[in-house]
Amino acid sequence: MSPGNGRRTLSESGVMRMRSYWATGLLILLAACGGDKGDAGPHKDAAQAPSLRESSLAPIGRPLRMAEKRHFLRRTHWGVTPEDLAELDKLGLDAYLDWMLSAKAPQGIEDRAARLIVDPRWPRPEELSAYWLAWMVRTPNPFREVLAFFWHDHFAVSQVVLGERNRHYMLEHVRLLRREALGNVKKLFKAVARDPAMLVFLDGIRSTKDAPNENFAREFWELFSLGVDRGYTQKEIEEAARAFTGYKEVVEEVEAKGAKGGRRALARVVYDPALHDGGLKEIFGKKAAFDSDGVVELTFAERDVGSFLAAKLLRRFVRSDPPQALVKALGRAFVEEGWEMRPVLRRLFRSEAFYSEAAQRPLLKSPIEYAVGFVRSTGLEPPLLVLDGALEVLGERPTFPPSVKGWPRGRAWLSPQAVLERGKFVNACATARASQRDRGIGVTNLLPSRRARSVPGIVDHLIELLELSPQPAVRAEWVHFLSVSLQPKGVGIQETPDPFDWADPRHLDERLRNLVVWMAQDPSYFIK
Amino acid sequence: MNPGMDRRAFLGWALGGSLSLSLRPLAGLGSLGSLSGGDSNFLVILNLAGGNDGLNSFPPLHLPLYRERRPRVHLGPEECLAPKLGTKPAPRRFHPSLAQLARRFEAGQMAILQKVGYPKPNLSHFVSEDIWSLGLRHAPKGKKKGWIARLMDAHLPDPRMVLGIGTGQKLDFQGGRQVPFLVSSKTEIGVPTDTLHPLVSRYIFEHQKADLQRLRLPPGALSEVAKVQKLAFASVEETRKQLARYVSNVVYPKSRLGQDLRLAARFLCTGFPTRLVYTQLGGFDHHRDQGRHQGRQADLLRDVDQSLHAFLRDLEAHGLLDRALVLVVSEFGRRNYDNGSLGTDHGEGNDLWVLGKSVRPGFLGPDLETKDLQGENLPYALDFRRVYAQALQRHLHLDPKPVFPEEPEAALDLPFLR
Repeated sequence: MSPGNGRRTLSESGVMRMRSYWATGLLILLAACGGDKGDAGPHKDAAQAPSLRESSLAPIGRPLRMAEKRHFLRRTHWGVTPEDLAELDKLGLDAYLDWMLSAKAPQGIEDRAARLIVDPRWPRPEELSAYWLAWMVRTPNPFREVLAFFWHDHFAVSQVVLGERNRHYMLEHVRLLRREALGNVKKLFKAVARDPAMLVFLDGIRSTKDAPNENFAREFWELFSLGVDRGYTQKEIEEAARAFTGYKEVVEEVEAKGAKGGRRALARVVYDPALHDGGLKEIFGKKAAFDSDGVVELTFAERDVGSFLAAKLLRRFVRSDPPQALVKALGRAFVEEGWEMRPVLRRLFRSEAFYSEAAQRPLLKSPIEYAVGFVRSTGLEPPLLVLDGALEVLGERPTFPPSVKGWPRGRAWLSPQAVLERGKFVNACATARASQRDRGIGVTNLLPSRRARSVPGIVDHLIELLELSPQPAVRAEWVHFLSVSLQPKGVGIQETPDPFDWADPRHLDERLRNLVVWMAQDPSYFIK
Repeated sequence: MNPGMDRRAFLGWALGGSLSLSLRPLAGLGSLGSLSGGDSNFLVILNLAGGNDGLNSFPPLHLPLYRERRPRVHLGPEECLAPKLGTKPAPRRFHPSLAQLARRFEAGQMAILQKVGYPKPNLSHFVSEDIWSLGLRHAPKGKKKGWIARLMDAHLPDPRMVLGIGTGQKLDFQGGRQVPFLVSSKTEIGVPTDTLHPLVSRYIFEHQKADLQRLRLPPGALSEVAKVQKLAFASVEETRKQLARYVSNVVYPKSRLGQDLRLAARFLCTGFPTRLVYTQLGGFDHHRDQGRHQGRQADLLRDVDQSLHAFLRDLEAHGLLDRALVLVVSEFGRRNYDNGSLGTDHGEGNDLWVLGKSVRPGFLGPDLETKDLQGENLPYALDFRRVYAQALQRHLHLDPKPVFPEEPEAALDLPFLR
């Protein structure tokens, strides 16, 4: 870590001043409120301050400290790069948020990602996941992907229910999530309710006026907006199911190009007014001819959707056990901001709560956070199908959530085989030498700037790059590892001193790459 | 290896920090103790996730109401199997996909426990599944501890005694002192190796293993990771070697379930001390296009039938069938009537299948009657927790009290084991 520069020291002392003003003001206030309490006041203040802070959406109101900047980036990005950190340093949090919450997605990445799909009308299953992974790995603004993936976990549609003729719905679904992730929540909900992949996944295409199907209606409240048994009845599920009717799938034979040629079946979902139940429905005590948008509007107006979404956002970005007061506050923020994600997220990421001690307690990384993060930080991009395959084994493959409830969280990801598999994945990335050479990918990210070019300098650079907190003895082993060569000796291994040579490409391709594999399996790389 | 670490301290972590001296002797094969499985019985649980339709798995053709309530999603007599038990025809038929299981049924190795469930049924998959995972009538406030975690803490001190296959760490396994041994058949168990430099990989592996054993961390996410890594690194080589000894002529289906059960057999047949296997197959939530004798449910049931058949034959070939008991569960049954999308919606009571040589064969429990089909859903008559408790007590010979503390002593409302 670089020694503190003058600017930061200055601003931090400014913060100190502000904080002591605040404390003095509070003391005066407390003294005014009840002189007889004596020194109970400040004592009580000390006990309450942290809990107030960790539930408060009030702006933190001072420049972030280094640890807080890292915390912010760890939670909002997949894999923190030195460039991200430098950018945040340069811009400050507010300007960085402006960029992060509104950055345009570069067309060049879309073009390259889209090229992975041979024919977008009949995409193959692995092309769809690779398309999104290309975005995740290469985008300059990972937050859009992080948030789109949050919504993917929320509206957890899997392409396993799709076949050759309608698998292209999943491409539209992913594009919908990515496009609307940072927009208006109600708009997103309305779009998802008529999204072809969702209509197939939760049986909307078979739900008609004559035979409404309750699958989507149930999950709409249970999993997407309110939580199980929170404010709706079985009768209301049946009423809402009628409101969501009106869609069907039609299949056409169309001209196909390429190897398969000829004519192929292609499906699309259409709205057919004859299938929609336009009658009166009674939901939440209101009687009207609700349609799909109507149920969304009604739910957002009559029930506390804000708290439900807030709790989920907080568990993903802040802590596994968000205090109720914070859930309520963020829930209200949704309403106050007209269900716009950008201002809500801005409030969250600038809040006292986000930087409280409790919020900075480590969370476990999910496989995608671990794997995509590793690739982004180190630059050691494997072929995307390798990444896709690893995520399948690790259980968090995009476009394949295990159920409509989405993926498990936290410790559910931990198992002996799973931790070894993460090691195998980083090994596959670090040892894909030939394929990376062909694509012009090298170990540059792994090396410190010229000034810090010593063996301990490399290790400390990598510790910072991967945000590790190794035991001192382990760090010493890593330094040692770069300075020896290994030979077999009987059944054991013999070490011979062999100083690390910067000019020797073999040292870079062997020792350095192997060291990264070792380091990325340190327990501290599993947390964020 | 770390010279400062003696066997006792080592065991200490393997057992989640509390060293119990009442363990089986740990002679022989290495760090985690003996791999001789001995001759203990074991239990295999297969969860059909999504809510399997019991009524079409075992159609009650003797009740005309079955057909009336499901005009589009029922099976007819010509489509069903009608296995006999002795000379008596079974009261319900078998779905034609369950041909191998029908043979087991005729051979006296299968029981179907009818109307299994729990009070105040919940129609949410996820709530219902959590109720099954927790196995308690009154969910405690705060941190939840699944029934398998309680079983491990009370009775199964070696983490390898419980094998979870392809499930991730479901609630069943969470909250205990130990790290459950969860594996996947999508990949081989092993450590990362740089194929260009296997020696270097070995060097790194040895250091990682030793470093993890030295590591002492305060409770929190980091120590959770380290605890799982310690078990992984300490057991991986031995596990790999042991599994490599598996030899079998049985060909399993290529399906995920077939491969998961094959992996279970590899553990069981090579002498791991496995006492409980938990695995699952999803996709049973047939709100639409469920099919009848053919179709989506039929395909899944065929997979279950053939995968279980291969697994049981494999156990038999290895002389293990006598020690096995298989329970096939599902979080709920489905609605008594079909729904107009040619499917069925979430229901309540359901059948629980039991397979093994020690079962009391047949359709057990109160037979389905017309009044059962008159309501929305099948009622429940037998609590699933009592089925689990009975399996623990009568098959694993373990005291169910610490695992299912709310179940009355010797609650054998429905003895399904001989």
